[in-house]
Amino acid sequence: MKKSHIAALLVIGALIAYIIGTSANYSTYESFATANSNAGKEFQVVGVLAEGKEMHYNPEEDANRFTFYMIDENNETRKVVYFGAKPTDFERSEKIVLTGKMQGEEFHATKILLKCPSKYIEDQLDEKGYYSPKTAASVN
Amino acid sequence: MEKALDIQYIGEWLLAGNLGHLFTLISMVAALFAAIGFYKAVTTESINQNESQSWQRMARIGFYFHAFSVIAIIFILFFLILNHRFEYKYVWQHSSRSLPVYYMISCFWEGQEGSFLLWQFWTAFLGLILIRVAKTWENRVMSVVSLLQIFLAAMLIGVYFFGYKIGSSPFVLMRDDMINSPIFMRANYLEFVTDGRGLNPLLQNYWMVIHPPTLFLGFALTVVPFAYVLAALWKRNFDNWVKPTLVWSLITGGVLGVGILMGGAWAYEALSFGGFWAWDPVENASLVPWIVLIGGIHTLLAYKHTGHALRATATMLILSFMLILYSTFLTRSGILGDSSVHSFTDLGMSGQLLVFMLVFLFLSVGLLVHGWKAMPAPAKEETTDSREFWMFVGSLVLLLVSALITLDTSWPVVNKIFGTKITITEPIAHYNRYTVWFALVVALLSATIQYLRYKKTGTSGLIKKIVAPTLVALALTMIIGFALQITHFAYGLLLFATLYTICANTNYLFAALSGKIRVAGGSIAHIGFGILILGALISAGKQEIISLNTAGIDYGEAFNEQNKRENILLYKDRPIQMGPYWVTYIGDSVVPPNTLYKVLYEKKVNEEDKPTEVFTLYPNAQVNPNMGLIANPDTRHYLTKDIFTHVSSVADKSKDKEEEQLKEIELAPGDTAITSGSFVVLKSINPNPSAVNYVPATGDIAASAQLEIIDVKGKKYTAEPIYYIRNSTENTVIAEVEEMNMTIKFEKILPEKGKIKLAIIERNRPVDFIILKAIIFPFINLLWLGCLIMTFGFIISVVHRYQQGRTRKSKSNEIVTEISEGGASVQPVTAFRDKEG
Repeated sequence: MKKSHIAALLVIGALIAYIIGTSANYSTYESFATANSNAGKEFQVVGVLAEGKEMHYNPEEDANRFTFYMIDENNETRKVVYFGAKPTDFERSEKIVLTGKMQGEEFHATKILLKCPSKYIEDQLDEKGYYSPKTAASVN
Repeated sequence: MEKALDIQYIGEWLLAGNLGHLFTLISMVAALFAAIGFYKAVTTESINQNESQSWQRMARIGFYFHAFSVIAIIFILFFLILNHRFEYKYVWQHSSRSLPVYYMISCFWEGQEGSFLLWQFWTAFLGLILIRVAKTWENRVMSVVSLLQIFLAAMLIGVYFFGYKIGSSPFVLMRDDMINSPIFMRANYLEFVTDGRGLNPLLQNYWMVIHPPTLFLGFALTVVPFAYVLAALWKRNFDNWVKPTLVWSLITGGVLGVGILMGGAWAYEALSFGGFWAWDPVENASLVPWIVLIGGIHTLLAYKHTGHALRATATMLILSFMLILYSTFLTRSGILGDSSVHSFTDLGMSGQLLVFMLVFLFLSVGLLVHGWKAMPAPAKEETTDSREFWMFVGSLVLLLVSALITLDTSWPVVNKIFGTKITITEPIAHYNRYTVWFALVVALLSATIQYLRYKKTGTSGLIKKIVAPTLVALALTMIIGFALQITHFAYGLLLFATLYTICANTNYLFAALSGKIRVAGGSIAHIGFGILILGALISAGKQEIISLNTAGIDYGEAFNEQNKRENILLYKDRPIQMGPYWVTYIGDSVVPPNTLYKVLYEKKVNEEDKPTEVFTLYPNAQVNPNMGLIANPDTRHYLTKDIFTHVSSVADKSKDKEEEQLKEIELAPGDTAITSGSFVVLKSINPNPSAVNYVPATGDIAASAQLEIIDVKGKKYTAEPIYYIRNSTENTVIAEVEEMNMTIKFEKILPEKGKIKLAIIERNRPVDFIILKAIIFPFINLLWLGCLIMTFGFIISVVHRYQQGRTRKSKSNEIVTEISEGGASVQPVTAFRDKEG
């Protein structure tokens, strides 16, 4: 390795260090509990939709507000407020990844990532030859 | 399953599947045979020429068999899809009867098996070309290519080997795969399985017909430069190596680049995230090998002209292919699960993929060690004002940004290994934050370096030459920056850098190369790169969401930042102002399988004004039984901007049942009744009514109520329900007020009160609305233009580099001079390491 190359590497390395050091977008997958004890800090929380609990989206009232309850991986249930349109296949989601922060007792999400069941389960056909994913059966 | 074994199934086409499966096995065995043959041809080369040649012949035949098998597999699979043979799982999973034939080809890349098949096909195709053109490199290069084919073929065999399933065959039967489904207890199950699950609607887009094959050709091509590097390391000799490697690298760079950008075009047209690039792990995984390859091409050029940087070149070209394998691992092992929306389904092949990757890693590292010393590295260091030095630095910058992107893409892998839970919350903002700086450096370098010369240069000339383009770029930066109000510091700098690279490269093209297109591939590609980044910068940086919901409810300050309110509610026929437009949702129409939502845009300031421009967009949505509602945007294209519109949600009309409200009222002429949504005034009673559905008859006692109905907005409607007695029975003729969805019945005359009795039925009409998001992307056409120019640059370079060798061949022993990279002057090229032909 030559002197000049080392110098160039150093400069670029310093640049990277600066960028990463000032980068605020790294976070960790956490639970509601962690998000709650670090109110105001942004986290990603993984969980499932709390079935049977109220889910509210009335676009005529506000097209950018959707609330529901989610159970995180520690079995804690929280109300979630999402500021956007309700994702269309929301009820069918098998897993939800939220990005956002705690605000009082509610989790305010700015982003929702859904996992659709059709991709992640064993395919099955019912007696009439129709496609019947396993999760759909377990919901009933 | 034992029970099912005895069943004689009816109507299955088993021959095609068995044949297909047989060909997957043949393709693998033939690839193995070819690999061994080419390897033996290499090892016997120096001992016995004849033996080597016969090995080579056998290897070639093996490879021909392999290529034939791959094509046969594709034909059989296509045949099954075309005939809707839903007894095959792949066919059932990825196609349906309603799928148009031109999308059937897309079935090949929806599933893992099909996309491996596509990759294998392209590599086989390239192998056939290499057998014809690689000459002395053939045996070594083809050994590597055949080895790759063994692994790719293994992905399709679906055979159990010591209890471990290798590969996943596209010819698996449904009944073998879904053994728990009760339907397979019936011998005639095929009579029930009448349709397949169908192709993902997002893939039913014309870009999806051409993007995957192009991208996979790019993927397949990366093995060629890689194989050339390994071949030379193996041989420990780099003579006559530069030309084929350079030509193949340039072809790879061009095709892979186009493939990636086509993916961006598809994402922009078909996906509703609003943009052409989301820094999704799947996107990154294909971008990074390309960036590294571009670095490798530049160090290869430096090596060609100066003898420097061969080791860097070898490393980068190897790395580029290894990153393709790594990206294959990332997208197909299911490891990206949480972080990417469009990775493939996990087929339980991660172990196999890992072995695939590690074999090539060990092979590359081993050969690098083996041939390291054989790679010439001049003792004398490059001078800091030479072209080769800065090309090296530029490549290093590319390598570093690749490393950063790879690291950020690999967090799921890190999490898996170390049990951490690191994630990136805002990927787009995060990646943009640092790639902006790298793009800036690369843009500056890609222009300035052109003015430097290989070997020694003075810098005095440089300043003079770049003064003019720098000034022009500065002026343009001021104008554009001011016009578009670019206030972000880094974006402002990047704006200058891209304009500078466009100006300086254009200047170089005309001033230094005197407009000789033939040798200007590099400059043109750089101009294209500059325009591309400029387009990305302006369209993404200055995009404007015009569907901001200003009429929303105020949640207080705490929410303002988060609540961007990017979606707006549009009731049917009710215009709403959005940016410079008044937008109206007109209605929907169904064009199976899509529902089109007709949205009218009128450019005007006030609602009453006459619009200066009118157009209609049809964002559509497809209700898919497996994926819910899938929105497809519609975009109005202008030369200088795009208006991008998609529905985020629609009214569920089936749920909205009509609610009825019945009200009975008694009125005297002149009275007014108040209903929930209107005033009803009884103007007078008409004793001689007549109507379409009431024909007076003798003996009738009849009367009609002349009513005026006023809605909440003060709009007036009239209605005249009739009451009559015929043959001593009461009859009524009801009146409908269509506009208000109201029905009025004249029930009775109450002579003692001087009043009449009316029954008013009001119904809430199911509200029809859509939730819309609309974004203006300014100057996004620059992005596509830049892409085209860059591709054009690659094509020119490929042609030039290819011809360079050929003209040289014709004047083999002469001392060759060339103008191409010599900068402003004609520069003799020392052929000491570059003995082409």
